[in-house]
Amino acid sequence: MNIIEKPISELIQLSSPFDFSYGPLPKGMKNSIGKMGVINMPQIYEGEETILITGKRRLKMVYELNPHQRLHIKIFKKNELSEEKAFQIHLFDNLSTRSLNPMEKSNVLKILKSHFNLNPETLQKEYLPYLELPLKEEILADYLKLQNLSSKAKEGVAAQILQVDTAVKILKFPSKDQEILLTLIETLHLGIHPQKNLITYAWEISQKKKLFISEWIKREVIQDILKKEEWSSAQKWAKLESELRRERYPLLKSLESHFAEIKKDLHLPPALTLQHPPYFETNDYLLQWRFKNEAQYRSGLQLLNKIESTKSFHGLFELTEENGQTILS
Amino acid sequence: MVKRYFPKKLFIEDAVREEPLTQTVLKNLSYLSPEYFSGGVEDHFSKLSLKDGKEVLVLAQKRGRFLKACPGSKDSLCCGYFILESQSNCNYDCTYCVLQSYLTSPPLIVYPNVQDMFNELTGIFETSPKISFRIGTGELSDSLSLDHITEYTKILTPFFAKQKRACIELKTKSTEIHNLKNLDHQKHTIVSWSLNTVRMAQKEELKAASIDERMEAARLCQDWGYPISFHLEPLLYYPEWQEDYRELIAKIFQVIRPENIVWISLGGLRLMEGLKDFAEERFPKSSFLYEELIPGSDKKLRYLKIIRLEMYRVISHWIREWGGKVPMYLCMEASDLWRKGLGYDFENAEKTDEYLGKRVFR
Repeated sequence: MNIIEKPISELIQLSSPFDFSYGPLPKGMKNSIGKMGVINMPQIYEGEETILITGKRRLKMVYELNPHQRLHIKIFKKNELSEEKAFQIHLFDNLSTRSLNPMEKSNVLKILKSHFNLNPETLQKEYLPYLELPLKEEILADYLKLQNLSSKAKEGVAAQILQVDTAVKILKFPSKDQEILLTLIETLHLGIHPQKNLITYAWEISQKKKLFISEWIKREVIQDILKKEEWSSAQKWAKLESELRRERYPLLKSLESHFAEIKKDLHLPPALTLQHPPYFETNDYLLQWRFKNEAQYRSGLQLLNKIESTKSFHGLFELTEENGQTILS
Repeated sequence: MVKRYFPKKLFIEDAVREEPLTQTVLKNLSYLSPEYFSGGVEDHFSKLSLKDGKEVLVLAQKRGRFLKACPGSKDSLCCGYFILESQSNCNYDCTYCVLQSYLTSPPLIVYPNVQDMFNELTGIFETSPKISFRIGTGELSDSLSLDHITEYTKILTPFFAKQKRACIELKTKSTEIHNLKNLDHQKHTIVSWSLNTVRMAQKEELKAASIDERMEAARLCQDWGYPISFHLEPLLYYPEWQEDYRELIAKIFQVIRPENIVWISLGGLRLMEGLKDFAEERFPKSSFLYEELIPGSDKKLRYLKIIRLEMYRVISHWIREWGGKVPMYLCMEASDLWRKGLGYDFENAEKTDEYLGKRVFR
């Protein structure tokens, strides 16, 4: 290995086939280089062709600051190290100073797989631990699939706004649906769980109803939700999720609506709360009753006795019986 | 016509090399050169895909108990059934099959250490003389689809013929019944078919015999004096379900006399946690994946209760109409669904078992 000085204008021209960086440059990098110069020397490999092993982003910064500058660099000859070793220098140089974002991890795995022809087992055993990823076949597969994302989705993954497993699921959709889903995630600022719910509902609805989400979203009721200016993102998502649920689970949603109507008819005071059995599977309704004194207790009892004879009260139990279907139809 | 199953590879664990059943398999698969191995099945075959696993037959020593009580399901009224693990996994590709996510080893495994199994069973029967045992081999596998290779029925049937309070139910979607002919069964071997509507069998029960083929096999077994049972599981809910299941019930009673049917079970579709993902990957065009399924207290996905109830009520009504008093039961359902769906329930698993055992242990 030699250390020599070269003009930045020459170095910036070198190809960097091992570059896996993705996303915006780290904040403060420009200021840091501006103040102290390049502390960690870029490295070059002279093989079949001369390539830049590591330091692409540093060189870019230096060039932006002063295109006439000369820089010290390390040069490795072909007989000194293999291409794979050169890549490892680049990888570990990065790993020792920063965390890679998920797109960068995906790029690392892609280079190892396509350029160095490493098999899945080697990738899994030798490289997933360095990338701080669980040692699982499906994790490797998911990270490699990220390569197929649109650039908008890749940006989302790199910025860690979009979860890796969600991004992989988005790939199952046709491209125009992918764009719509990404826009929804972005504009509604959806967190991990809402993202997952959106993708799962959207996928199952598209499969069950044989429709495109890009078409479904054009419906008036959905557009009304999305265009409501006075609503926050969280409110819009709550409404949208409710519509997705209605589309995916129409019967369950009808039972829930009937239950809500019955509850309304019962005119329960705030001290009495009534919940239906989970998924209407059993008859175990839950009634919670808060009272502060004997008078409140007595009035609660009176009310309970009164509602027992109402038609609405009996309607509750029909929701979990065989005539539940009849009620809904 | 259903194709007979023949594996592409045969692996034999050293420990069962000399077992008589191993010799039978070698005779029936003489076109294969077996590979011998030692150690656990999982160490050798867990990396096979589900698809590739179905091409591989493994003969291995069963370690641990052969007989287990059916685990049933949380909050359900059980029927007191026992499972005999004489083999594991299935050569068919039913889209809804629980084995896709339940079993950890993809190949078909047969356990040839039959004497160990009989010793265990005899010990249990002798120490529990007052208990009756309804036992099945069709929970973790198809009981008969490999019988032309293993000839297991030639061993099981005479053994159970000698038992006073134990019977064996061979549950299948195949037509591999030929070894049963001329066996002394004493009506303690019940030949059983898992049935679905013709439409769903064609769509979801890939590689299995057609419903007509299964019914023809059932007719032959009836002629040979065997008690017959049917399992209408999983019941699938789709727009034409009523006309299709009605046609199926009619078909059953056109072929089999009600007095020869020991029981019929009904059970709505249930998907274990994770099964949906497997099924979606393997059979993306399957019809049930995107139905309105909700999780129960046992975390399995099911149709809403009002749907299941309607199916049980309607189908059991037809069974009564054609089959009179043929015993029926629900699989993995709570007492209230029995009561409202079938018109009766039982206090506990023992009582259910007693009701179902009546036609066998007369």
